[in-house]
Amino acid sequence: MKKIVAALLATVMAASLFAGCGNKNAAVNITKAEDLEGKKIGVQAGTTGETYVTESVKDAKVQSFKSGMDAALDLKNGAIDAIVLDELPAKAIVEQNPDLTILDCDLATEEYAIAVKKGNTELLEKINATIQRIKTDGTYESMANAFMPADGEIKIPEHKATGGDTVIKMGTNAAFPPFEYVEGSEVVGFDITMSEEIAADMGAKLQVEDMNFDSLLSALSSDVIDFAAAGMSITEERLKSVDFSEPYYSSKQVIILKK
Amino acid sequence: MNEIYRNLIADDRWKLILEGLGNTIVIALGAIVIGTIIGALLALMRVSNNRLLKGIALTYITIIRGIPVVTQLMIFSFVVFPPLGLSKLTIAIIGFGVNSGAYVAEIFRAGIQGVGIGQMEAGRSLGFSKAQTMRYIIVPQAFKAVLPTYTNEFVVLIKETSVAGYIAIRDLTKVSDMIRNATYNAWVPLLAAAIIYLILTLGLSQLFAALERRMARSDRG
Repeated sequence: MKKIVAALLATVMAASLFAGCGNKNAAVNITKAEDLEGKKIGVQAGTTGETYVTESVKDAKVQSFKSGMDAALDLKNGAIDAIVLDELPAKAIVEQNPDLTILDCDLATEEYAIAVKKGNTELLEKINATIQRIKTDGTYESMANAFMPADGEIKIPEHKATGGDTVIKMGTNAAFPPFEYVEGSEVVGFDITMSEEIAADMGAKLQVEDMNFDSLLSALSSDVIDFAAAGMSITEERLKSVDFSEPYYSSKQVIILKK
Repeated sequence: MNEIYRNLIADDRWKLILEGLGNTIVIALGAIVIGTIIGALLALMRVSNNRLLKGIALTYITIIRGIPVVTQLMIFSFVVFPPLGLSKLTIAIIGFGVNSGAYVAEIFRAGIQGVGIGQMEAGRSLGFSKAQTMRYIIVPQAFKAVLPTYTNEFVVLIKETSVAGYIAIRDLTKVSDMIRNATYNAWVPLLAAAIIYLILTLGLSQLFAALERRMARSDRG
């Protein structure tokens, strides 16, 4: 009899212990950037969000995912407490996942640009010329309207035919809407359309290589790709290994939370 | 049911899956062919009496077996092959083939050495040269003996191709990643990929089991 009572007691104690843990997890409360301290934070590997959390958030347990979407799945599962990600991809994720929400608190602002191999000024000048052109002739605006519409209804513009004897390889990570993502079986997005403009101006055929974000810089330096357009922010660290074009978009890091 | 349709069929996703499946099969088949050729050569080099050949084969096997396949694949893709301008798919086939070759070599060597030493002596005493004995007596017996382990290497290879996504190839695993990123459903694309892999490996095992049975018929038992 005593044994049974003892066993029962042990079971109840164990159960309450688990319940205690559960409550503690549910009490994760983040309302401002400082609250990230000591939390489990998901980021996309190789992004400025990862650098920010690693360097600026005290005691953060950083978990690097291959994409923001995978981080979102783990956030929904309760495996992490928050995600730090670029604003527009974060918005796209939250739009698809009603149980997630964005905490807008300007963690870090940054500017996206196209990266080329260090010293490849010839290509860089051509890219800059195209960026200049689309900004002045209205193409940029219509691209922005198509991919970042106020009503949230993205209308993918027609592919611009690119052709020619030379092939230009553009590296990207198609898990970063609306800049690059997969629609059906195709990689589409703002950066893809912009790269088509660049290739068309050069009279070259565009080839899109969809790889991991944190492989892009090494792919540039080993000539696997010619340029990288992947919603990539200009940072001091990256400037050591690649050259950046003129910036084409200003972004910031935001926090995604579970509602 | 709706989720299955949305994840596997809608928005041309079935095309994506077919593309991934196609790439996985092409890589696996190509790698098997290259791996078998490299493996056979290496195995013969290892059992030869030439010390240099033996050394080369042993070094190759040691290095290749000691490095994870995904690391090798990235070395091939980002360091070795970029100057040659080969397609990603070709790089993957060569990469997996080179890797598989090391394992196949060891399988073949075990098979050759597993044939009793008396067989070689018998062949030699019948007046066959060493090469002839190898060709007519040792290898046919060895082949039969290694078939099950050789099949296993194919199965392993098919599964290993799942890291091809690291070098921007749309294989089955990468495709399921892409679908997951688009639909935010982890279950359906991952399970579908798992089932397809299972069908592939099961089918292959069955095929080789049939081959094994056919070859067993020639045994006097």
